[in-house]
Amino acid sequence: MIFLKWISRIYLICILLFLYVPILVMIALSFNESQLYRIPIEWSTRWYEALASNSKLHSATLNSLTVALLSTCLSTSMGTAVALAFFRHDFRAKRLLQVMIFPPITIPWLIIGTAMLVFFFWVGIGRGLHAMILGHVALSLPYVVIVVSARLKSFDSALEDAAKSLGASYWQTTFWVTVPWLMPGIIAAALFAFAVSLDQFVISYFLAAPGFTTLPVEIYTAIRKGFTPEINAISTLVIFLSMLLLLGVSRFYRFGGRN
Amino acid sequence: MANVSVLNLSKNFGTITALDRVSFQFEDGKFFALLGPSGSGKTTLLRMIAGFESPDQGSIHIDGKVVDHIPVEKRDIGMVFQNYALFPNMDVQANVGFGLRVRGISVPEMKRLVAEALELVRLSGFDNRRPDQLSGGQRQRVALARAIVTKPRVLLLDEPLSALDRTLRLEMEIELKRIQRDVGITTIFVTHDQEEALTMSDQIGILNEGQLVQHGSPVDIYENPQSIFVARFLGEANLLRGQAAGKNVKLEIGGTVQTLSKPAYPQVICSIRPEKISIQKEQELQRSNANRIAGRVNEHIFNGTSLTYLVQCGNLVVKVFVQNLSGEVIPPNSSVHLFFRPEDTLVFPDA
Repeated sequence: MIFLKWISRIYLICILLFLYVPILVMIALSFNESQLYRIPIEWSTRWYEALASNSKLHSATLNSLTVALLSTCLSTSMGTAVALAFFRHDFRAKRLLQVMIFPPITIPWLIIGTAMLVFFFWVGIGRGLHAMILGHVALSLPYVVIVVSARLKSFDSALEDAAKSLGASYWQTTFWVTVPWLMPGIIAAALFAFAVSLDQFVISYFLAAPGFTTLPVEIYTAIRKGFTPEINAISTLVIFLSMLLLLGVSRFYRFGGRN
Repeated sequence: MANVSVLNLSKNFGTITALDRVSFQFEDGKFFALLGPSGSGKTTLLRMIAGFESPDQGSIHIDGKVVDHIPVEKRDIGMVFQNYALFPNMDVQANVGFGLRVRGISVPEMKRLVAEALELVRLSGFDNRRPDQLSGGQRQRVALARAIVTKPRVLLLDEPLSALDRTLRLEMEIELKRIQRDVGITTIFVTHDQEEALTMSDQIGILNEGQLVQHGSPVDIYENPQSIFVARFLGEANLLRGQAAGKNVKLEIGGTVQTLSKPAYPQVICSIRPEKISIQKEQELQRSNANRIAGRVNEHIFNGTSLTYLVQCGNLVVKVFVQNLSGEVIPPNSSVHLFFRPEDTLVFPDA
């Protein structure tokens, strides 16, 4: 038994190493003086200082945050409404509709991105901020529906009945009883949507317009032009932001098992 | 305050008939119990009066006006749910004040009315507690205060005591009755517990398989059940099969008994309540012109104030309740005779 216990521990350590070693290496190198990855590492913050004067990265970051914020607001409110509709009503083809919400998760992003690009050009939406927001909303919507629906599973619909019996209208019931109860799920869903948008590359790449890119797209372009440890620095910052978001999600969302 | 009447209500869920042409008058200010086994349609009837379900046929009147097309939130009802359905994100004051808040009543007025309602249910000072900081009985009281604070026309209770333990339930039965009397509100109470129905209500309606099979005062229904179902569902009944000839019934287990009325069918079932039977040992037999059947004591259950005997009569076991007057217990295997009056021998056709 002790043998098995050690095996499982080593296994766990291997998985964590597999997940985190590349990231840790990159973080370490972002603090290295040398541009050519010379070892031993000489401590330096010069790449972070270089970031401060890189206006392209600044505007790309701002764009990323704008797109993420706006698409999160849209997809969270729409997704919550979808989850509520699935919860409250039984209608024909409900199952079909539930399944049809999920393709953005299952279809490769490359294909969705191409389809969106073609379609947006065809109907005259084109590329840029508005197109990117539309794309990100479509992409993060299923995540919101899943997370909010999971929370709704433990909602007692007698609460809505009680509110109505006390004279509350449809909207009063929704906003005074149901939504406050759902709030932890809605916040988790919003953080999810924010992370999905922030990390999205393929669709952003397709829908980026000249003069309007997001951070992942800008990083990719920079790598193609020639790699500098500046990328390590900005990536490190993005990683910390993502981890922070994830911590926020875990505060509100049960990842399976009992927390 | 108002009367409620339902007329010819029917409701089907798919192929299941939940209600079948139910008509009933709930008089102003009275306490009604809708009693029935699970699936009898009692909750459907209550939810229809509340407006959560709409009838396939028939109509509902509150205060003489048809309310069929008025949604729940406009019906001016108060309802207490089985699991109380308190809003977990609000404290007691906000829960009780919810109905006032949606009606746009000012905050000071709301606070005054909430305090009044909490006093009525004896929960003054609990304003700032959250539902998860309350015991089951306290939640029950909050739910009740929340339902009556808006002074609704009708109070609907959906098995409100079923989640409480026995001691608390008995206490709440008395409380609920007191509050109902104080407020004087027409109250409709759904339960599957016959004891609750008997002790609390002015009128009982008994439902079975979607039909209202009998209604009346507790005493009336208990003493004059109109079917075997009612006899067995409300209280206990010993059922003896036999053949009628005039007012005499020749029992399958042997012996003949008399009934008060002349049965209309030859094949009958006699129903006798266990507490209407007296038991005597064979050797102490006294003369009596009551009905009599012979048997042998199987066992007895002693619970202080009373005794229950299970008496083997032919192939049937007859239950007898005896008040513990003498402190004497008839031992098992004694030969005994059971006596009961013809007026307590109710006859029903043997289906």
